Amino acid sequence: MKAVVETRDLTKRFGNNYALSGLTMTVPRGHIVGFLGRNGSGKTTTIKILLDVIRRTSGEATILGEPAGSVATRRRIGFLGEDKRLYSYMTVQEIIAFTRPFFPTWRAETESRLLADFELPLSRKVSALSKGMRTKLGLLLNLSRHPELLILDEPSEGLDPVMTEQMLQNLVQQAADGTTIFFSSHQVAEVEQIADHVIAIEKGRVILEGSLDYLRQKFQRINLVFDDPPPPEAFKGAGVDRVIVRGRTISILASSNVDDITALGPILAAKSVDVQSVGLKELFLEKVKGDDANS
Amino acid sequence: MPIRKVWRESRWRFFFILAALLVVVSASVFYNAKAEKVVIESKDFHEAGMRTIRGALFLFWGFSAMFLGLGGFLRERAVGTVDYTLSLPVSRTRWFLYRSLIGALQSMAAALIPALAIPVIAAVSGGDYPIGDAFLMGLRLGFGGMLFYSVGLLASTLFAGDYASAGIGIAVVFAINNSTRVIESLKRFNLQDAITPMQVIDESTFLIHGQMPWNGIACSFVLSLVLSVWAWKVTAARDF
Repeated sequence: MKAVVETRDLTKRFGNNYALSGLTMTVPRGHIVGFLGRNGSGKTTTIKILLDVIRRTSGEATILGEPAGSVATRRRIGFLGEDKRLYSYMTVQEIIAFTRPFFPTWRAETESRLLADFELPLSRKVSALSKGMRTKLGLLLNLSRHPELLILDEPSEGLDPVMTEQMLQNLVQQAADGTTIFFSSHQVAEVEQIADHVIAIEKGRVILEGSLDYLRQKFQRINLVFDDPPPPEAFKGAGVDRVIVRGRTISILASSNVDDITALGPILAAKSVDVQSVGLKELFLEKVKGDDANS
Repeated sequence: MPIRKVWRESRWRFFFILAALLVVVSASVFYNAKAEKVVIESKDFHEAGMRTIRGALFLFWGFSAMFLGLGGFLRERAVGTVDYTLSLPVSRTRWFLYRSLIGALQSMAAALIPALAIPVIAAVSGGDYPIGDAFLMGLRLGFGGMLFYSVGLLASTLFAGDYASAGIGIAVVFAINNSTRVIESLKRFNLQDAITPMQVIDESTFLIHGQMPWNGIACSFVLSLVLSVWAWKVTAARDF
């Protein structure tokens, strides 16, 4: 698996607070990677370090094999920020003309197609564009350069459902064209819709990483119903990520050894044992809760 | 491309400052030339021109140059465009270089053009003021007063917010001017005297005679370079 982004033990400290606490992750080439996390979990900080907008406190970060922030690398990537703010004094035509010469891989045909698809008014000032239109313009500026890696920070933030759908479809199309998409979001549904790989972070650390298929296969929920539930400690062991007691039911989130854990049911006199697959939302919430409990 | 962006972002401020300085210079020349008199003798413009460059132009240009130094990444962070700018394949150093050089050129132009306007104003009014004197004084003002520009440049990299950096910049320019004018031990560092040294200006004609000293100008210019390097270091290291 070739990586387009790699971080190792990445930390960022603002005063006494750590925004990132040893973040180690890999963004594989050719995938749509959802970067999931709660507000304040460190997603934007990570992206800003990758773009060299802020400087890391320690650790390593590389993009396309080069240290994060190198000028040569920036020619090969695209970025769309949460606010989609662009130079307000330029017109649509001017900002396209301004951006185009920076990128040798700029595709005029993509620019023309997106201009038509998005119905962007060339002579209108950026300051007069709605957030939806600014998103379209931002997408045009990034997709036309045909980047190897496109980084998006909360791309659907503030957009209506129609615009969000249009944007997500454009990202899927771009990925099919060979671009690796790395987008942050706190919307699990959005990540599940288009991503095939997920990296979830909490408090500046990775809590979940892998392809969606792998995560779905790996994590299972085992529900055991008892007349008289045993203590949760009875299930502590390899593969058990989290044990929750709800009345007579013990619910276990397992990342491995599902058969061994299930076999404990009859031994401990469970009345029923039920194994279910786990959705990304549930998995993410469990991991976040687990992280909260551990801290 | 980056140069075009920097120019687009600063041009209206530059034109406004230039227009304001031309108004100030015109008013000062006529005031000093006692414009209320119907007949203006040629030498009145010599005195008026010298007094304008040394007085009104020096003072107003000093504050204007400081304003021309403001802007940059902290300003862009405030309006939300810094992420886009820094994601472009241009290093922070190059952005800083373009911004500081264009600002410095604007400051120089804002010193030279109003100074060169004085011979034009004199000629239009039927008098004269030597272009050579105006050019030399404008040039000295531009180089020597570059310190004020670099104060603005540094303030804009250290303090977020237009009002904070402008306020601090104004205070520093004011402090430099007044401390070197009032405090005896600092008088030899006075920029006004370094730029328009009265000892080489003829007391009767108010024109330059003899060799102009450049040591003070050079020291001030070197100091402005030091402040600019400091501003660059801050820009290269800080988070946006």
